[in-house]
Amino acid sequence: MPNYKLLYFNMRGRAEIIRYIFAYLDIKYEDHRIEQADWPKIKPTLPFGKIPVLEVEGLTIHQSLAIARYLTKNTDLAGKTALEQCQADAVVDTLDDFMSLFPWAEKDQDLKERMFNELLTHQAPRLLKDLDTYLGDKEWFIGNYVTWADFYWDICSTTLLVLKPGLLDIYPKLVSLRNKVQAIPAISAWILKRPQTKL
Amino acid sequence: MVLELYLDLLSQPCRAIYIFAKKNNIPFQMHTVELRKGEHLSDAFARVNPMKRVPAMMDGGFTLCESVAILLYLAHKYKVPDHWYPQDLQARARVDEYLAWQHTGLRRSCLRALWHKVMFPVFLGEQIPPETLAATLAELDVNLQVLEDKFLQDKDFLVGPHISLADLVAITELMHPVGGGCPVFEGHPRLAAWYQRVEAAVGKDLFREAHEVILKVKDCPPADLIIKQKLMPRVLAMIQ
Repeated sequence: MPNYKLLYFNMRGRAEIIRYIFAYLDIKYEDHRIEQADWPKIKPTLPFGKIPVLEVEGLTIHQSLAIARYLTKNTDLAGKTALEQCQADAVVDTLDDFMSLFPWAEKDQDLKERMFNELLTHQAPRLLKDLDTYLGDKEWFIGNYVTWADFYWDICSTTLLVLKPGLLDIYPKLVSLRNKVQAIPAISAWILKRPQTKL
Repeated sequence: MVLELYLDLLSQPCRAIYIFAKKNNIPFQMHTVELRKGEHLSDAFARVNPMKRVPAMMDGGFTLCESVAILLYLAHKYKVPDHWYPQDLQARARVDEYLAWQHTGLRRSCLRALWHKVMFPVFLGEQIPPETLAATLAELDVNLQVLEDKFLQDKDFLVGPHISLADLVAITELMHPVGGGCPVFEGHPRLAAWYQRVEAAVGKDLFREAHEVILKVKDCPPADLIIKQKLMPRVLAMIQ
């Protein structure tokens, strides 16, 4: 087993999917949380100047979803067949498309607030309706076993509910899916243990 | 001889009476009956209202309960401006029509929305199944659509160009799900505009004062076990 060191800020954000996977697969890693004050020094030393990155076997790997795929490769979390792996990727990319629309780093606070409000009020319900339809009566997104797509839904929806409480009130199946992910012992233990941060 | 009102502004009909009395400069003595402490279930309060519910009124030796009855009593006794409850037969019937529907339509939806969203999980510590919450909110949305399409239509207020008892009863009811965090006015632009007009007609300060409690309801501490046991039978009956 290689030594893993995950670098990110002290927040859930884009690193949380990696942390869920480490927790579920019971893999030891260093959860290195960078202070905002130190970030300007560290940024130029990283590929593409962005976090999260995973340091493993002397390499620094960037892109949270690429890291997640690397860690889940050859495990059922990725999907049991090539086609199911593709489906899991499709759900993750759908969620990521939406989360990437938010201008997280926008400095104009009024503009940021308007854009967040537009996304949460008008775009989010369309996504949620489509996700609800896609989930249908399945127990998990890919059928009858949990994949990282279900983890990613829990993570993204946790953030969305911080931004707009009540967003999922009319989507009970999506709420139940969140509850099922959070009831997985390894995930539940991580949620209890992790630092409490807003995002 | 002073009018005595027994109210808890957590209650939507109590808010309607409070606003109405204040707006019309009706002098009264306020007795707060804390619903979340079960004070309405006390024997002392039963002497005012044997049904053990707020709102209740005592005027000299005369006691009255039921919010609509109290509102009508106050409107007549204090000869408030006509727009609140018009003399004209057909205009008055429109107010009555709304008040009749409100009690069988909107009331149930708004009460359940607040209880399923906040009072059960936060105050009583009981989880509501997501399917139940979704059904409650779907029913609320149907009733909001009825309120907007059937009663409000394109008018400024529910029964015409001026505020009436209908608007007051309706807005205080809607503030229940608003306090519970439901997006009541999203997707209902005419209702949203109507809300602004009602708030302006009532007066922003009075409106906010009356709704301060309900707007902070999400922050209320959990009930202790003794109070929960007292409240639970009535609560379950109320929101079936």
